[in-house]
Amino acid sequence: MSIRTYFLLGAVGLFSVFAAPHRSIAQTAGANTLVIATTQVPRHFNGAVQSGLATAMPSAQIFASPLRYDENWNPQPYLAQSWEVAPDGLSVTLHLVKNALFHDGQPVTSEDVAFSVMAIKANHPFQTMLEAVDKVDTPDPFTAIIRLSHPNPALLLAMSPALMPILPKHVYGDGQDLKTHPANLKPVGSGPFKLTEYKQGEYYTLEKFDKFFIPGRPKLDKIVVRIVSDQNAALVSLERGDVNALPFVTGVRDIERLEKAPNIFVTNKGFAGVGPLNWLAFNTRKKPLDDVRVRQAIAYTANRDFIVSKLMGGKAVPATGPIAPGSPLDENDVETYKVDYVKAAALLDAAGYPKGGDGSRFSLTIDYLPGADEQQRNVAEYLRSQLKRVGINLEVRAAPDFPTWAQRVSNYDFDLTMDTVFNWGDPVIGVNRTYLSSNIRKGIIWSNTQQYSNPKVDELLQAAAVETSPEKRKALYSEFQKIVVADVPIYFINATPYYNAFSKGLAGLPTSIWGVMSPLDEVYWETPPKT
Amino acid sequence: MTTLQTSTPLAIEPLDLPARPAASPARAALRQFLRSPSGVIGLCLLIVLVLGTAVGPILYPVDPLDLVGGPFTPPSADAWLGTDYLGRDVLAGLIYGGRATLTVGAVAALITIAIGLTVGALSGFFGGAVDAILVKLTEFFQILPPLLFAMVLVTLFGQKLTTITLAIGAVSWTSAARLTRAEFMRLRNLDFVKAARTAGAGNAHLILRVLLPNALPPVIVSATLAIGVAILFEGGLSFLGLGDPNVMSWGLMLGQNRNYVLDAWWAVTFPGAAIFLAVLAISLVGDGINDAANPRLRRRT
Repeated sequence: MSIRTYFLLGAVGLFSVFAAPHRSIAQTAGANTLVIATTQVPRHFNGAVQSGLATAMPSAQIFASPLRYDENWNPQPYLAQSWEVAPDGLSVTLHLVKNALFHDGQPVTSEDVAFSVMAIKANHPFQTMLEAVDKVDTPDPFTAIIRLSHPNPALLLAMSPALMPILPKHVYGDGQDLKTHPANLKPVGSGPFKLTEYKQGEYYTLEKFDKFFIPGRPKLDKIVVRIVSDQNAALVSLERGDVNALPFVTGVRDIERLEKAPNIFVTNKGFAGVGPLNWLAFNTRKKPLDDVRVRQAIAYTANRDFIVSKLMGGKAVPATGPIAPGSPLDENDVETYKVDYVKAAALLDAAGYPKGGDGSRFSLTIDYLPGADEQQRNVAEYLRSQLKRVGINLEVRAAPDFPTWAQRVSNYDFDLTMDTVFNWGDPVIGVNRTYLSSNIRKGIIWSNTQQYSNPKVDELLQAAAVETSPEKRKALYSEFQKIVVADVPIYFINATPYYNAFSKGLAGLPTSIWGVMSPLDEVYWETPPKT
Repeated sequence: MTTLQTSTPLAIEPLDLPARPAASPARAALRQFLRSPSGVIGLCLLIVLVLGTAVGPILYPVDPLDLVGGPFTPPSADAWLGTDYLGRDVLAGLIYGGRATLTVGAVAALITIAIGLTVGALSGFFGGAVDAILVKLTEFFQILPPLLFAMVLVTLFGQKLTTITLAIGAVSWTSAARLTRAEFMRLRNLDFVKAARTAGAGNAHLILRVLLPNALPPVIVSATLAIGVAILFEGGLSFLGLGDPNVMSWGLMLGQNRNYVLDAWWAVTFPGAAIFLAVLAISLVGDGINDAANPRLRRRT
């Protein structure tokens, strides 16, 4: 299978290199168009039933959501012109704008909000996100009251464009399974752009919805998203000006290359919401890693500073705990495991693993996510050399493809593994899953595959998930972070360096916490590109 | 060598051979080999490479997987050939990597020849149903694209150097089998074979002592070339990300560093040059052996 994939990728990559110039002529025709290149292939466009960057980007253009967010995590009115959270935290009332229409001309009403919320609760992969929702009342067409069984402080963030697209009930409510609904590929939303063409795996075209409910928006007439399988082809197209934006760039060399290009603007703003963390995970049920001292010793040896400054060329931000840097809940006052070989050796001795005659204590394996060399493979190889300093032999186990790696890790067939996991804005959505002992679910990747279990952590996370006072909540998460960092089920390394690159001349760029996974209705050409 | 002369039908005086001093054809072949300039150059080059990887670790005891400096350090007094993307010493990589690469090449070639000889000999000697089956088997392996097949094997059984070696051997034996089969079919009806058979020699004796020595020269040439092919295979697999990440080899260096060629040309160029030289040396030697082993050419000179 992987062979075929390689070949297909190669073939498609070649094809896209050669085909690019022709297509660009056809597709950039007409001023006021934005051409985006991406390697992310969406399965479909309905973010209500599908997570991930590939779907979130178009879904946020096509569907409007109750709220949107600015750069500083503040909710902004969107489909809801105002909203109130009840003092007991058990209900949220949304007052909808009255002039919002779906792309087919039908008005957006509270019925649609109620339908969408329940549909997302039933179908979205992030089960904890709306777990607290009992029902949605619709006292009038423009008021929706979301009723909760217990407070959920993450609910407002879950109303973001990427997570809560409002679907038209008259289209999606026909009883068909939402995950495979035909309208997922022919979506009807109320967002600033409507999907007019999708050539599977090649490109999709989003055109301005002229009855969008915010006057004067969107400023662009058209967005063309060109799907390229080869990152290099995408870089070249951007440098040549064939495309105007390239989101989700992670390679350090790629970022440096784009920074040097005279016609391109590069920013790492727009990923605070995603909160991508790159880390080293331990199988905490397997000897000798079941001993916290062994894990701490490895943490004291790993040397985060070197990894971030040298291996990642200073393009990544160090991460010291389970909540991504940039989140208002991030606690900095935790053990940082500054490199200390003496302490590491002492911990290993104390754990009962003295150095043997050949200078080694024990052997372990390390896995890594294939396909992300700088963030994953290189760090794994570096750790092999590094851990040898304290007498730990590390064998690097390469996985030929993602399913192989996921199979190993989710079935606990690993000692150490590198991994990249997203926070998705609020701990309830993207953090809890990694640490709750109730989420030790064999066979499911990105659950608690470390099999970490600490009753105190469970308790803190459960309390924080229903705590409505922001200060108390922050305090609970702060304690949680300190405990997890001290227990080292995971050694946190860095926030994955995600960058968006744009042609110079574009303005109104998406730098909010959700970046390009929020509506691009403010983007416009300040100085249009020369054609 | 003794067996070689007892049954060499093409020697000039076959009847006298058993009584002649033992080394003569071998010495003749050696003389012939040394007369071909390309063979000598290849041999010298190969000796340098083998010596370098054999003695190098004693003279330059640096672990190729250890970090000796910052990533992308250009060649300097500290690291003569610079460091790679992690800060590993490129020179140490070349020395230790050469061991792995040349070993993979030699062992894979041995496997190739072992399988090829067995299948080819049985097929060519017995003919008939055995031949039909073995030829079908050979054809089956032959129609599979070798690099892809090797990739499948490595993907299935893990990225270990042993797996990689076995995979290379398993996919590249077909030409050796066909060559051996052709030689056996040509030889088996010649008079000296018939004579041996009439004298009561069994099948095993005929195959091993009579036919095999005479079929060997072209097979030896093909075995030499197989080493070069195996080295290229190892490089190709590593280049596609299927190398053994725990054992430094030239292919692995090339494959892992290729993304950083603009930042650190030295980490790609040197192992690339090493592979080039090794394969060149081996083909030159193969050429030389071919000249030396081919009696027709020998007579010509």
